[in-house]
Amino acid sequence: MALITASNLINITPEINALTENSSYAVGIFKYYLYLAIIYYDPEKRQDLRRVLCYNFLDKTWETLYRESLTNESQLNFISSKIRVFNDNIYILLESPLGWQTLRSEFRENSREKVKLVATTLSPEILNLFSYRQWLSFEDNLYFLDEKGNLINSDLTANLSEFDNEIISEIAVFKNYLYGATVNLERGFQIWKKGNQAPLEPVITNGAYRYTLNEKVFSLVDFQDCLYFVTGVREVGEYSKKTWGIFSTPNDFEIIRLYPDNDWDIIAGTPRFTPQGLKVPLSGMGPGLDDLSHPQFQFLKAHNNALFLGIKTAEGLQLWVTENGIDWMTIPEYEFSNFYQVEVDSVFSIVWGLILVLKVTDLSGVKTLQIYQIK
Amino acid sequence: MSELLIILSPPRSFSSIVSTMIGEHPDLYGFPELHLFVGDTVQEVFDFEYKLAKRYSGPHGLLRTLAQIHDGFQTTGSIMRAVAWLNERKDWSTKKLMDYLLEKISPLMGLEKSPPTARKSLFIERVYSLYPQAYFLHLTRHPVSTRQSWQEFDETIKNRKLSNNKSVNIDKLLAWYQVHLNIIKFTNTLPVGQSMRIKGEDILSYPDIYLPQIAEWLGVRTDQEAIEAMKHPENSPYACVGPPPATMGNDWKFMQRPHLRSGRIKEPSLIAFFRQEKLQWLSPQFEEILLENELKLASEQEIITEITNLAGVLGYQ
Repeated sequence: MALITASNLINITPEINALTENSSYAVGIFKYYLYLAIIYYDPEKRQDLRRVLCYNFLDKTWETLYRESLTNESQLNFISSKIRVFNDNIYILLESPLGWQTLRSEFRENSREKVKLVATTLSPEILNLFSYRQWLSFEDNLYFLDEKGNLINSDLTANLSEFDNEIISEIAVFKNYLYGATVNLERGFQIWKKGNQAPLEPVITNGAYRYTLNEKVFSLVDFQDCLYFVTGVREVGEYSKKTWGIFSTPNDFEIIRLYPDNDWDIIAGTPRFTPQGLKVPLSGMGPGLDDLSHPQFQFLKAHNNALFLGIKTAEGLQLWVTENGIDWMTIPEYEFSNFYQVEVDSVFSIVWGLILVLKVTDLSGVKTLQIYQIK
Repeated sequence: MSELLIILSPPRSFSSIVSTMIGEHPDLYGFPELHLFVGDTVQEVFDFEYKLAKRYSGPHGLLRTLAQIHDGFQTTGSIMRAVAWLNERKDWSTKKLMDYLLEKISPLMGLEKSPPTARKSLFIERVYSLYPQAYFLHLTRHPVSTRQSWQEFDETIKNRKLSNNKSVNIDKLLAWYQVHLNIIKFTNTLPVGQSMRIKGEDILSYPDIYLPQIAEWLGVRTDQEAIEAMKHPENSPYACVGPPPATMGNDWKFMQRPHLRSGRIKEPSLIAFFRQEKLQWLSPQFEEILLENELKLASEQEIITEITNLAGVLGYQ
């Protein structure tokens, strides 16, 4: 059985000795290549740099596409690097107190070639992209979700705020409907959907009847004709006002899948009575996948006909994979257990494999960026 | 199938009607309040009962159960025989007595719902240590409704001078919080599925939705006949006022009107309640005791936040 589809884990982090806590970076995928935009201090050359690198998966090499030396960058405070791919272009923003540089890809006939980047002034519309967290196209309209949880070009935000919703945390297009998932601290998350002609309708409310222990939806992933999502309380760091410690374990996340007819099932989580009937976890696992170290959710990604889940456990990053959504297996060789702490920055599913961008703290406390390719 | 289902809840949480409904399932036997798990021996149960309600001859629910099981009916005569039977067995462990009752109702699953069980973590842990395979149903009710009902109940008890409880008072919202915390801390330690939680308002407002789910969870029949039986708590032999000297065993109001009433039970607003009410969390005597022990209660805002958070987890606003 080819359940564990990934057989190779390759560290493809560029060897530039620069990806530290005090650098700013962004990673993006564009036309078969991986792009890394960074602002950092190069200790060998003793200078601050803005730099864009491109990774070629075929010959396994990094190449610098853009490099700019900086002076007096105030010890690299308030710096920001962002990459956006939009309308068949890649846009890069490298921002610091001394100013900002914007780059865009130049048109190429052969899309399999790496792009050439040109420094240019970007239109306000494109600059706005850098403040959006997520966007998608639905029924000939573009919908943008900003960092504050407002859905631009839609009355969805205003409508949902009437129901005690704080923000929209995730959006997705699934089976000809636009889905919006909310953060709701009073009642638990809600998921709503809207069709082209169909009015806005609630799909799940009350945190799937786990109430405020499911106050946020972390991801919406289309996989095998279902919309999978992870839900729970917001991260502990965000959550100083609530003393969840008294509840011992229940702040662990759940995995739920949603069907096109609004029915749903718990994949991993707490069994419960609901208006839609008795719901029991189909995988047989409780909240947090029964991991007693109360793992933190990191990512959920469909890739290569499988669904991948990353969680941060006491022992490092743990990857799980399923081919049918119900039977989950860990991938033991990908426990990043030799690190003190690992957080997933971003994940990409491309033809070359699953790309994991990780923020890693080693046992001596040194923080680095690491990029892995799982074939 | 486990042989025992335990309902855990604070007092005044619809536990009488809900437990009697579930207990009317053809595969279950709903006991009245046995108050067995407050002690290790029958003697300790007697002592607790005297402390709680000035009763010398044991919990009313236990006496009614013994009368019903031994004689098949409850009269003053059968109750007196139960008193005598129980008096001869004060040295029994509560486990031995509970096993005896379960054996008598076998092959049915027993259902026990005494609110005092959740009063202390020790009592809950005792249930679990004696019956580690038992199912546990955590029953909830909106904090404001619980408080109001609890206060009314206390007033009645006070007027009828039934209570022997000389402890100093705390606001019932604090008690609601503490009992639910006891239950949650316990159920969080159980394997997935051994415990479930349900809002009393849901089961009473939508019995056709929730009763079949409870039956499914317990692994008993879910056919229409079984569910219909659960909708008639009045058929329980304990759904009426008992004969003297064991008149209680369930909530007084429930025993006077034991039918399931149709309609949706409204939930008040906790935010509006806190806005309108000026609460005195502790009686002056209690505050004095805290002071003497160099302790102090959390701030008003901290208490309100904690109660609101717990209510949110249970699905109440």
